[in-house]
Amino acid sequence: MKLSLIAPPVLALAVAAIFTGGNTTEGYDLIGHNLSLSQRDFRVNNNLTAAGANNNNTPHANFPDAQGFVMAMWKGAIEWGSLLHGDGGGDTTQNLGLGSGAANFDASFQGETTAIGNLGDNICSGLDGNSGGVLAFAEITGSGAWRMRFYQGWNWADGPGSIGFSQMDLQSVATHEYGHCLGLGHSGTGAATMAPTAANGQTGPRSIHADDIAGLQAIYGAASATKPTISGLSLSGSTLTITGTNFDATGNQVWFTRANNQGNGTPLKATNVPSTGGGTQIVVAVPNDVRTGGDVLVQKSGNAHSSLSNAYPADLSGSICSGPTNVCFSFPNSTGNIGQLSITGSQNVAANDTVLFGSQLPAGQFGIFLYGQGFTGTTISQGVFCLGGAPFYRLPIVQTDPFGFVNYALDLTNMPLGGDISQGETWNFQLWHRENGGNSNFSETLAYPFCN
Amino acid sequence: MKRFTPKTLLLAAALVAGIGTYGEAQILKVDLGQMVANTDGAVFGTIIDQETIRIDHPVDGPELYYTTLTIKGTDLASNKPTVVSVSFPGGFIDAENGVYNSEAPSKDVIAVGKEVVAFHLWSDNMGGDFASNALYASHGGVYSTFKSKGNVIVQGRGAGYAITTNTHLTSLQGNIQALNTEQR
Repeated sequence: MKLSLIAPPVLALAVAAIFTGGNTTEGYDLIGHNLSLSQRDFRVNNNLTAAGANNNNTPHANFPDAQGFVMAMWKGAIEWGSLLHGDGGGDTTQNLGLGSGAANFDASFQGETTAIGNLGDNICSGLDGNSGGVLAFAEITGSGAWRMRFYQGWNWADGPGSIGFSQMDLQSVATHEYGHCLGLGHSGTGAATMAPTAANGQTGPRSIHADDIAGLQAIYGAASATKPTISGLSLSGSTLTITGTNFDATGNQVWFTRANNQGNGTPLKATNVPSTGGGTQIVVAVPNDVRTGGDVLVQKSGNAHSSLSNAYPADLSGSICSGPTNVCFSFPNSTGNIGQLSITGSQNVAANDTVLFGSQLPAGQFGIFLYGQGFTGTTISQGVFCLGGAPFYRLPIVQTDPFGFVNYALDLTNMPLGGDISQGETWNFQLWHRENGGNSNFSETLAYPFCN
Repeated sequence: MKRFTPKTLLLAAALVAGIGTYGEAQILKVDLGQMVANTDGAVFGTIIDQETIRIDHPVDGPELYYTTLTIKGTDLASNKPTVVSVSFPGGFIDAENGVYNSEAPSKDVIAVGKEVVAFHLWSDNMGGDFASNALYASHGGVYSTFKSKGNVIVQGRGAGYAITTNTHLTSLQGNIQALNTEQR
């Protein structure tokens, strides 16, 4: 079968194949490009509204914070990865697990975007309409960047297991299309993922074939013995410990998945990270703007294909440090408003920079900031005391100014007896203040996590 | 015969890698019966024109390219003369503006002056609100022909394609007409 007939321009591709060792007569076919480390990112615009494209709501630890179309795209790309993605689970149709490439190639899931993207923005998205018989396509630029489109007009299925005989499998098609993105043309091996045609009900192409692996390794080389590998992750607060092999002693980059990735798709990176234990352990702070569910990769020095590790799934939701949140309201005070509270600072105990601000309060009145870890509300005088249910502590007396504002800077090294605040804890703060006529009221209550 | 030098070959490879963009698609597996059932018609003829346009769509995205071929020849079902325009995603307006994808069959197959068999289906929206007569399954919907001993031979493409092996045009036309009658 002359697959090269469909590969434009024929002569130049044939020449490119010569230089890359391609096989253009049977089995795998090479387009002639490869994805450099700067093009390993991929993002998903979940605009595929076609029937069945977002039915999979079954979570899986290897694909945290993903489902439906997004999860199918993620699975399709990481099947080409050098090692099993986590424990390889997530697809009951694959006995050998997801992550079968065994080459110096791994992709970096970079979350979701609302953009379609230009040619070369490495985004998977849906495309309205149909062009008759075409399921999806990848458009590839000379630099190896790409864009992938899935026609809306199909009866798609997003797994996670087997699918109906009249449905077209998103994950299979995604695996096929990503194969094009990384440099493979259509294969003459009928059972290969890169075979040019697909049938309804078919899930076999989710799992790459020996012919696909041979093609992948022809482009990127079989996985090098010096390629860094990640075998486990451990999260404590915002500190991530990465276990593996072949990390550089210094100068590693740790790639994270970026949250709300609307930019150019560049991975979120921690740079100049050392390792210990002879290159077997990296301890790194999880950066801000990380996606709660994503992949972690380690790049050691250099930009060779073998410099980048496998992609390891990471649920980093425990590392996300949210800001203050309102957990309880009081009643309006004599100004006609509910006393408001805000808290500024780095949310880091060691930084000792937490400041409490009150506003919309009666002018010139004395008050006391209270804090505790309970949040049961009880009506007292004209307001609601919100710190019930657990011990609470009082800070020194303050007085509101003529505009009804008050502030107090916490000294976290000198807190009331029993009320020490430690990193990783969340405390609730409220202002109790006097009102005219001997009454009193309370501000709203804010929960403030010390988690950075 | 002119020989390619290593420099020429390197330049050609660099042109592919550095200038062009290349695309692949996965298409639905159909045999000839399914192809005939799924399409509005099939034409055998000569490509007399080729035009590529670019659409930048507010929803479907920028840089959507579509190429339209005009084929003058014979409708294979009715055996009547016809002129048909068929479109597919991809193609180049000029050397720097355009994109390859598998919607774009080999340039050699679709060059102006080539004789082909093409299957087509009307689509109200091929993406970017582009309505046209779609070349069905793109590279799977157009087949080169050549002459042998006075007969027109349609080049087969192997398993998964509507025409798997080299076939006489008269034989293909007979099959299409029979399938049309069956499916009517």
